[in-house]
Amino acid sequence: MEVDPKEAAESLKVIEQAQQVVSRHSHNNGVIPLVWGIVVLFALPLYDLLSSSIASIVFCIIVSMTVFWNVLYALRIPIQPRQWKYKGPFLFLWWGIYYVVVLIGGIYGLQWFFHGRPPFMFTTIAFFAAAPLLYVGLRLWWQAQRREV
Amino acid sequence: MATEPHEPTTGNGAQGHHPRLELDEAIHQPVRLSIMSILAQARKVDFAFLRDYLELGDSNLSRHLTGLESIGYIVIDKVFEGKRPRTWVSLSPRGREAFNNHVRLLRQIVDHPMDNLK
Repeated sequence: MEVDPKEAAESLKVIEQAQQVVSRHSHNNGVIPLVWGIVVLFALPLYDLLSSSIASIVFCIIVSMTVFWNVLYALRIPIQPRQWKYKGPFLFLWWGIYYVVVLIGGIYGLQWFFHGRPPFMFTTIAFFAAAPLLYVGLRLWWQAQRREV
Repeated sequence: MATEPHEPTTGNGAQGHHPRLELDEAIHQPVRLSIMSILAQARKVDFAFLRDYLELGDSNLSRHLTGLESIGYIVIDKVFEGKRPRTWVSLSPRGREAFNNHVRLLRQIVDHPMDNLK
């Protein structure tokens, strides 16, 4: 088969573009962590705005709807990637420890420090809880979108 | 189109051939190269996605996939997810080896263009 360097370079470009397509249309596109980050960012502050019982009901409804969306989205996604970015036992442990520290440490630590519930306590916790999800989501999303196909 | 198991080229230059002569014809065709490129990055890919992305008809894509399947490069898995039929396409180990080799040869051609004058 006769292939000149220009044609070979074009073939390599097709292959590179395919890598981008896979990132964009698989779980590695960052949509799931972005959505969860936004949910955490806006749902937790409800505890600062509403009474605990009403906030809990609204929070549960929002989280249930997000879980439902997550399941549907995961089922409909057309490409299952070979490697999931930001997954693995070490990262899972890190996420777990981070959330224990942020949620439990934040709630009890802030109340202990301020001798009671400070204003915007849950908004502050929401910011720290959502930050890694938004960071990971945006990073993946940016990586998947950065080149035009 | 080959109908028997296809022997991926080694591309190691052991026979002294130039890389361009060792490219895998079964992969190099543009549509097949696109299919293989996507499959190489994925564990499995939905048939409908490949059809829409490559802007092909069902029959045209099926023809290409059947060709690649017949030489042992891909695996086609038809399943029911709930009541919904779905066709997943994935790369076989043989196909992955052939694709990696093909990419390596393309890089050799790009990196050493003067060799093409031989």
